[in-house]
Amino acid sequence: MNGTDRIPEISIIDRKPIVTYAGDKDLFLSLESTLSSSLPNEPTEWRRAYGRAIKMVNVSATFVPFTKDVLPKEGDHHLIDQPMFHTYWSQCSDVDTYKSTVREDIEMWMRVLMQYNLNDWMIVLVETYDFRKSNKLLPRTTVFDKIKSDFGAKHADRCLVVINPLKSESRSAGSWRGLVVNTRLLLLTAYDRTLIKFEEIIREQRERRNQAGWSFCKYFLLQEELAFVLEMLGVYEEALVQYDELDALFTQFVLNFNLGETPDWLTQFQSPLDSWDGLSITTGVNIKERARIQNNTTSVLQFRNYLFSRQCAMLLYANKPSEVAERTLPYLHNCIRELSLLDVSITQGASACWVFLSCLEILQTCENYKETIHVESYSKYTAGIWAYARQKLEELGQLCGLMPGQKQTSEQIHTSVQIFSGLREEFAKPIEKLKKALSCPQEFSKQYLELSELAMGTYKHIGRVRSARSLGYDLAKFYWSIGDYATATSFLQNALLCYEQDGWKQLAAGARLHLAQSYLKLGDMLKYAKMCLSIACTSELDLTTRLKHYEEMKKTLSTANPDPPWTGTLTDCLTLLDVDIQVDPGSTKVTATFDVECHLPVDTHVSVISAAISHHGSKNEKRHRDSSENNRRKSKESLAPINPFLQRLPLAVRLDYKQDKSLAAANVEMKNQKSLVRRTDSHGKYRKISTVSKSDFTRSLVCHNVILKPGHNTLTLTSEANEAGTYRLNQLCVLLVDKFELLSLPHSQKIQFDVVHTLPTIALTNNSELLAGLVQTAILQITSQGYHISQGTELVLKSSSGLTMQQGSSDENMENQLSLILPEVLPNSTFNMPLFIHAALPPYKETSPIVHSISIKAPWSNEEEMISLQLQPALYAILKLQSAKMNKFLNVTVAGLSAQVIRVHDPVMTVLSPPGVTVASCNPPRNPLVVNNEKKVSFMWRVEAKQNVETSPVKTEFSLYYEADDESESQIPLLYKCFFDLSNFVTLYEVECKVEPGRGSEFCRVSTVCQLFIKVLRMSSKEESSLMYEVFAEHNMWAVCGKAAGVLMWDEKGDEQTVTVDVMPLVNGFLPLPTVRLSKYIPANPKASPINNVRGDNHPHLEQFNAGQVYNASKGTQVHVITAASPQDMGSGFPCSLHLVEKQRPLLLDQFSTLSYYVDSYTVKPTFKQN
Amino acid sequence: MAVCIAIIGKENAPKYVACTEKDQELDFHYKVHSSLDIIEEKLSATSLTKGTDLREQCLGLLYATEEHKIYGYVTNTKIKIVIVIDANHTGLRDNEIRAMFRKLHGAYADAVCNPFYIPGDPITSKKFCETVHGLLVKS
Repeated sequence: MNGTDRIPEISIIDRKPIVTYAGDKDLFLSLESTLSSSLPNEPTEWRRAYGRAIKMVNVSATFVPFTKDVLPKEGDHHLIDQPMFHTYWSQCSDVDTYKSTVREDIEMWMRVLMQYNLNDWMIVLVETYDFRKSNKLLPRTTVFDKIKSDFGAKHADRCLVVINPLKSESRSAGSWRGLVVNTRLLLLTAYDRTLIKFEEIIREQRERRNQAGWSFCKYFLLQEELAFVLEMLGVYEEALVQYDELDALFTQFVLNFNLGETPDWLTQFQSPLDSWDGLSITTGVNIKERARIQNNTTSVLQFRNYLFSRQCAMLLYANKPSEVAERTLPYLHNCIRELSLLDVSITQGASACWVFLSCLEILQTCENYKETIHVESYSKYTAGIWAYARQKLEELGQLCGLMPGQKQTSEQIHTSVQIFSGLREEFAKPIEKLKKALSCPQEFSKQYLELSELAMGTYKHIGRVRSARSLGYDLAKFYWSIGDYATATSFLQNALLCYEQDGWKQLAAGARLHLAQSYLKLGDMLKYAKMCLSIACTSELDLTTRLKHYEEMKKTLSTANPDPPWTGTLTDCLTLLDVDIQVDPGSTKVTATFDVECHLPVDTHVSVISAAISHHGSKNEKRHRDSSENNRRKSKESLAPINPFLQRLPLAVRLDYKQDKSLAAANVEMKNQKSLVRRTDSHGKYRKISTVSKSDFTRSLVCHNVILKPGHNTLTLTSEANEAGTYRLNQLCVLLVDKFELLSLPHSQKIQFDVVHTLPTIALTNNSELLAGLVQTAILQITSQGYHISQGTELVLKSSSGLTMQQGSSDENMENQLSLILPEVLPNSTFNMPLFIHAALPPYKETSPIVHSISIKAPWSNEEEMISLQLQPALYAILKLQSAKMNKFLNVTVAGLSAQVIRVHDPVMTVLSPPGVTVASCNPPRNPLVVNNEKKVSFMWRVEAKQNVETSPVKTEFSLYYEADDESESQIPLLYKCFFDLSNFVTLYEVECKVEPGRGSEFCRVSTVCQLFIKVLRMSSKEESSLMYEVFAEHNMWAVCGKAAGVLMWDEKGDEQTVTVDVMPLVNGFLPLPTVRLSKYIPANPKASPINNVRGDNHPHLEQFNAGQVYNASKGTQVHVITAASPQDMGSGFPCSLHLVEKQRPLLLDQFSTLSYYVDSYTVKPTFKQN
Repeated sequence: MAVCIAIIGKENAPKYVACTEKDQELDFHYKVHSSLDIIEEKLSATSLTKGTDLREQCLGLLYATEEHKIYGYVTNTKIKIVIVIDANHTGLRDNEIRAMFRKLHGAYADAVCNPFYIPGDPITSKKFCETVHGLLVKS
């Protein structure tokens, strides 16, 4: 749009289709203005042939008088200058007049049209509205009817009648409207027809493009005519299509340039460039450029400029500025390529100049569109254009020696003069800008930076941060050269951050190198050293560079000699691969083995490596005391960043069933896929350098004087004793050359370890079962674990009552409390100490183990340790009361409880109370007897009591000496005491039973009723008056036929009662007598009031006698029963039959007694019977 | 044919970059890195408009410079493949570019199917390298 006034151009858009008029010219002229103004009022559908898209077109027209001159001639393709539509106007109302003159005139007009082969015409008859005419009853043939019949036989729509709007406007509206609509339609039809014909011509021309003599320029102009028409009609998209087709065709020609023969017309395009004016976007047609094309004197740049400016014009008409911007870069690139393809010789810098100017022109054009929607859409492309312009300006600057640090040579000045020589358009704004920029270095820098800022700003605006950073990186070099290191540094830092974030290591390495130099220039030695270290650790760079920077860092450190040391990040230098932490359970010394990957280029001496640890309480101390594995934590996986790709997917099987319960589908699905599919954001992963601060190193693991080799290293860091608790591994610090502290970023994973104090353990062991009552040897075992027990450590042992102890080696008495002095016990060793213990036997019969405990107080623990012991009593004694009529005997059985053989001797039984009772030993004086769990010993004493003390309870004490029957040692006899109480042991009743055969029988026979005589004797008359007897017999031996139970009442006189019961033996042989049991019979007490009485007193009941109160005289007696009497038996029989009567008379008839003192008076009287 | 081929991971870090001219390698790195901007732009544009065919993995021409044309392709797992073509090599058709991308995608898939390959690591597969170098212009 610049220089619109100066550059000669024609505006196509202002052109209108041309329409001729003939006939009544005055009439038409009077109507022309009305007609031409009403035509473009409404858009008309342009229905085109071949089913092309329907376009809405606002038709307007220019009217010219019909002459033969204006009509198109053969081969004239200036379509926009040609009339497309022809009209004939008449207002003849009289048929006769028509017949005489008008018809002839029309025929002449038609003949001319026919001659030119023009079919687009229209005859308009203008009528004056006659009020009277419509009243006529029979309308005569009108002029219009005549015209229709004469000319409109085939084309009725081409003959129209209108009422003159000038004469009566109101009446004419309808007919006038019809005229306008018809005119529009017919005009467009005319164009359509013409264009189809014209396209045919174009196609024909294009087909001949490979023939000799064909010229693209001519063809271009021909097809452009079509574009003009379309532009004139306002169909810009269609016009653009024409230009695009031409563009593509030309491009194809250039591409095929190398293949085959070069057509003549193309050689012109190869001529050396003498002008490199930038693109000029105008709405009109640049006549000068078009003339050049016509004359075939245009250069490829000029041609391209012209073509692109036409394309841009179409796009701008269509209100698409963003597409202009979009097409710019491809256009510029394509032109540059075409220049090289066509081998056009160009002045140095000419193409750059052209690109720069064209870019500015486009950008200027875009800036005219200020609506947000346009800005948003074209910004996407203008960023690239800005960057391209910047690049080209830099190129020009380099050429002309305007870059900072350059000095313009005369040659370079000459170059710039040459560049300007190719610029014709003196006054265009881009050229002014360029001239200004190339005038002096200051101006150049200003323009260059302005362009760079704009390019970067636009990139950032559209979100292309990487492009912006890359540009900034480039720009940093420029700032560098003008000495603005601070700005350069900030650009480089941004770029580095961007590359690091994306993980482009090579790019980051390059940025680091530059940044290091920047820091050096800025004099920021700390950052310089850091950057040098970072470079030294960059494996992407070659070793010499890395070494150089490594040395550089060392040098910097030695010159700067910082105090306190500088801090930097460790991340670049070391990668922690694995940590293995071991805690010595005794000394609580922590040893951590770090597996690290060192990225430094050479072996590096490191004075101190320390790892901070922080204490986090000791809640777990107790729990882990015994588990040594907990002292050691491995954390291999936790250190390496978890690779999300290697994570196991939590898949689950899902089965879908149909309605009939049959399987429809089996799927594997993930319940919560969002957490896994979620993009892990890379932001925040990287930190800016120098943000690391040193954490608390008061507790730390340290390692001194290490050589770090490049690659894999294993470091062992240790710490002194720590208090128990959970620790967390924190920052790692490497002190380099004593002046540079490198700190790691905080670990993302928690690495924890527990320090626990493991105290010595004390246990009491014994080889065999411990026995109470004897001195036993146990072993006190002290395991030091990790603890160092110093000499003279005192252990205080306290036992529970009844247990005494003695240190194995000492001669002291057995005590309840004992203090032991320990010798030195080294860590992880065991010390054994024999300990004699003795537990007293309980003074009562006890067979279950006795529980004792020993509490131990050790100086290393605040708490007392309890050791519980179980001791089996060595022996026990039990008492049984035995009776013989009125005599009473005490039977004491002593037995051992273990396999240990114990010697017993000197048993003594003493009666403690009442005073009247004494005992007399029945034991023969014997040598010591031995007992164990298989051998028992019984002792017997006879009770001698006076009458008056019989009923009171008797307390006795039994004592015995015993000792372990070990041959090895001489034992001191130990005393065992046991107390027994007796009560109600005096015999009250005696029972005697006897079975005798029935009357008339000599023998008791099977199945014969015999008689059981029960004789009860009362030993003391004071006793209760009622007794109940019950007979119990073995069911398979005896059948009790008589009364099995009964009550015996005693009176004052008699002390003996006899009862006879019929019994029948069931088997033969020696049968034990049926048992008779006596009980106290307490009859019902009718006098007792039902209220006060205990329940049961109203009924008679039985009470058992104590053992010893009833003496069964016939216990163990048997009766001989022979088989039932039968004739055979009577005859043969035994030669001798054993007549009753062995009389077993056990002296002691306590029915539980089994053993021992058995006084038998067993008499067998054999009776021989002679058959 | 291509002058540079780059495989870029999901997080935009390069997994594999190969080019014909070793001395221009860094230059190509810059170009490919900048092209990530446009890839991201195109991906966000497609994700914004609903109903677009997500199966279209070829992003076409990303941008061009005087010397080079840069084409992009993105897999469903957001692995990006970038091919840089010499701008003077005009005979290359769009479907040829697509064929190259498909071939690279196949080769990449084969390379990562190796059970010994750790996803996310740079690609070192010999077979993959052969395929890539087969697509690069012999200089």
